[in-house]
Formats: sequence, C-alpha cells, structure tokens
Amino acid sequence: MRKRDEWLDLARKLDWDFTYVTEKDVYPEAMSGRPWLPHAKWAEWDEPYRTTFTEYVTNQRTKEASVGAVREVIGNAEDFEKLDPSWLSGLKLHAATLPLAEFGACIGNLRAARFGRDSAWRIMATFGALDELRHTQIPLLLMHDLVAWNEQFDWTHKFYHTKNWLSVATRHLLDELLLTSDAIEFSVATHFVLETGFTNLQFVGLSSLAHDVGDRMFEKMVNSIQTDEARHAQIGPAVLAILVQHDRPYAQALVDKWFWRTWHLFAVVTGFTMDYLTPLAHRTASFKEFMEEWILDQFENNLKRLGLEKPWYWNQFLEAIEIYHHMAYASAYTYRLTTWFDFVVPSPEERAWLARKYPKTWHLIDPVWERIADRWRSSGPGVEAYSMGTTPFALCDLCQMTLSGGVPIDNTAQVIEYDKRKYIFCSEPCFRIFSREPERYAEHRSIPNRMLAGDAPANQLALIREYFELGENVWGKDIFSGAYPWLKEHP
Amino acid sequence: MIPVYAFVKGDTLGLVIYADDSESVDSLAMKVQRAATTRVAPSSRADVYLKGVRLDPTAAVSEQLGPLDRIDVVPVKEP
Repeated sequence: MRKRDEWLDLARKLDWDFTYVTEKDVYPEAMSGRPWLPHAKWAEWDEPYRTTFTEYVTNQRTKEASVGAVREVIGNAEDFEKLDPSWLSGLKLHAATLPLAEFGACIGNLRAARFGRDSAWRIMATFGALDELRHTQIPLLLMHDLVAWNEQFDWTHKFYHTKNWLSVATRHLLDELLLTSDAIEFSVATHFVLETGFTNLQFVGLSSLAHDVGDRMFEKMVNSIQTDEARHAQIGPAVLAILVQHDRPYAQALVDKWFWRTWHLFAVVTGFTMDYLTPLAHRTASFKEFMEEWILDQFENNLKRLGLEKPWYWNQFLEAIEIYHHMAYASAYTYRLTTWFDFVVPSPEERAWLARKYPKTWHLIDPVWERIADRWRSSGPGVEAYSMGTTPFALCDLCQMTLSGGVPIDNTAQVIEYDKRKYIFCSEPCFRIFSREPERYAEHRSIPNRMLAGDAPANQLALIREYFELGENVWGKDIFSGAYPWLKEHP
Repeated sequence: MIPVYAFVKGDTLGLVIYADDSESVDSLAMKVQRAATTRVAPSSRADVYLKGVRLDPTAAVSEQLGPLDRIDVVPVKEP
C-alpha cells in the first residue's frame, strides 16, 4: 500500500486540460479574479497543511466532541451568570459579530472552492467552507442557550439582519469582503489580511484571556475555531505569493486596502474587550501591547517574505493603535442606547492603568471620562439619559464607523466632493480606498444620509426603537447604572 | 435648515447638527457645544472654523456655510 505522501498529490492535484470549453470559460476573470493567468502559472500552488479528507473529518469530529463535552458541563446560563458583567458584555459584542460573519466566509470559501485557480487551493477552500459553517453553528448553538436568560444574546443571530448602525458598518465591510469579491481578492483579503494578520492570533489571545477570566466555554469555543483558522488561513499566503510574481502593484493595493478596512472593526471588537470590558485584575496586556506583540511583527515579516511593502499609511496605523479604540469606546459609551451590549465607565484605577499603557495619548482621552464621571455625580445612579448624547452622530462614508480618527484635539475627518455629492471620511486611508473605486462605494448612503433624506427617523428614540430594532430590554446601558462607589470616593 | 458636520475640540467623534439658516455663527457654536456636553464641558464662548478660517460670530450661518460642510468648534478657555 502506498504511503500518504506518495498518493496525496494524486488526490489534491486534480487539474486537467479542458477540451469542450476554454479555461477562461471555466474560470472567468470576474469570478476567479485578476490577473487572469493560465493554469500553468498556478500549478505550483501549495500550502503547508496538505490535509486529506479523512484527516479533516477525523480531526473535526474530535474537536466537535470536545466542544460538546465542555458545553454539557458548563454551557448553561447559571455558568455564565457567575462571570463578571463587563466580560459578559464583551461576549455579547463578539457573539453578535462572529457567527454570521463566519457564514459569509463560508460563502466566500465556496466561491474559491469553485473558482480558485488550482485544485489544491479549491480543496483547501472546501475544507475552509466546512470550517466556517462550523464557526457559524457553534456560537449560534452556545449563545442560543443564553437567550432566555438575557435577551441581548438574541443579537447573536439578529445583528446582521438589522439596520443598526454597527451592523450596517460591519456588513459594508463583510458583504464586500466575503460575498462579492472574486476568488483571488477574497483569499488575499480574508485569509492573508484578516485571518493571518488579525483573527488567527486574536483568537489565541482571546482564548487565553477567557481562561484568566474563568470563561471556559468561550475559551473552548475560540480555541476550537482558531485551530481551523490556522489551517485554512494558509490559503492566503499561497495565493498572494503567485499574485506578487505576476502583478505586484495589485497585490500591494489589495493588502493596503484590506488591512485598513478590517482594522477598524478589529479595533472596536478586540480593543473594547481588552481595554474596557475585561476586569482589570484579569488584564494581562493592553490592546496596544497585544497588537505590538502578536500582530505587527508577524504581519511585517509576512509582507517582507512575500516581497511586499508595509501599507503606505503604516505610520498613521501605528498612531491609531494608540487611540482609535479609545475614541470609539468613549463615543459609543455616550451613545450606548444605539447598541445591543452594555458599557462600563473606567474607574480611577483603570484610568491609571490606561495612562500607563498609553502614555502618549491617554491624557487626551481622560478629560472625556472625567466629564462623564461628573455627569454621573450630578445625576446620581439610574439616570442614564444624563450621560447620553442625543444629537445624531456622523459616520464615515467608507467604513460607516463614527468619525473618531486622529485625536480629540485634531480629528482627521475630511469632506470631499465627488460627482456633485459631498462625502465625509474619518481618515485619509478611508478616503483613498473610496477614491480608488468610487463606483463601488458612491451609491451607499450612511445612516445620517438616510436620516437627511427622510428614509430613517431623525428622532433619536424612533431611530433606536424602529430603525435599529432595539427595545428597552436590549439597548445598551451602563452596566452599573452609574452606581460606582468610586464616584463618591473621588469627587 | 443646513446640516453640517461638527467637531468640538476635545471630543471623540463628529456630530450632525442642523443649523437654522438665520441663526448666527455664535448661536451655532453654542448649539454644537450643547450637543457634545456629555463628553466636553461647554464654555461660554466658542470659535467656529471652516477649513481653518475663523468665522465671524455675528454672521448668519446661511452666509458662511453650505450643507454638509465640516466645522470645528473650539471652546474658548474661560479665565
């Protein structure tokens, strides 16, 4: 009997020459991506895992059994009730943004499983699609158990089906990334930038954090997902390596575009959780330290190895790591009614910790928290409205996130006129991404634009209740209703 | 009504403010400060800038601003 390595490529490399149709008919550029190259140029495509279907099924079965076993023991609402409420709020944020994004990735992988240019790539993409289906189902299953206990967990499934502003922002990114991009762009953007660059290592960090906090279920789930991601993420560098050989400027443009596009969402989901929603006693590193230790070095090394440059905005990105998520969190805190998860005001001890971790920028944010704390002191506990903004906030016409670029004393937003219409962008990279493909983005209307056109309620409460579909039981609140003992101790 | 994008110095995000055509720039400055008051303490006076140029506080908004312009509101420190 032949050994594995002797027969493996007979199963993985199943390409043949077409006789009744042309190769371009089978793999049209619109679906497969550009540059269109004959298969001979893709024939050397390879990745390090070289998994067989038997191995895949065996491994996945073991992992499923392991997640199921943990769920049996600690997957009940009573187990989650014991967790810190701030951490639970971070869990709600992750739970909503994760599963249906994974389902989008399943569709993207299926497109690559059909239109990827080499059979080994298509086989890996098939495994990737199965992975992503699993990553959709696991959080939906686990969080469904919690809906009856806490209605905010209902947004695990509901989030992407609403017109909530954060949902619109996330879909604006993920619809393009996962549902509409061709096989090459999908693989570079999703596998190389998002997974290899961000989420694969994020899951390692999150799993460790969940362990420290005592959230064994989330730890297990993230850990299980990460081991799949580590495998199928390898599609990205393999595609990019061939793309670089044949169209290096396009490869660079894709990396530049998607690193910035995905960074904003990553900063919100991970930055909020690490620097605000994880209890101070369990924080092992700041979001910035995590980025520096886990993300930057390996991403820079990957780019170097592939012969690519760091994105042109790299210095701006390094500055953004210092402050963007702080700007976004303070903004979101005062508009918490517009979200489905809860927020906490950082205590004096937490602010001192943040000042140590962010010595260059925290002094610019701290006055905002002093002001919010003063508002709670004046109103007393329970009066949420006194620390809430009621005026509509503006959103970037590219990323659809709040205009929180730059620093509080120098916001980087810019208004640009294109085709007789004014657009506003939170940052130079968002503006340039728009400018490179205006036909792709120009027709989209942000929530404020919909309000101005009369297509979304201008009244804040109507907007929240009717348009964002957030009722009183679900909309975001201050976790402690302003009843912070330190408000009295630190007048 | 003229909708503008407003940024208060010290704030963490931009706001959409509806300015009345006939109101003065100074009145608009106060309106923007009130909108940001949960994050930035208002001052009794604030300057309004459009593309780096300080606007005359007594001028009517309709003479100075167009729809969806970006304005920066800088609270003047009180002694």
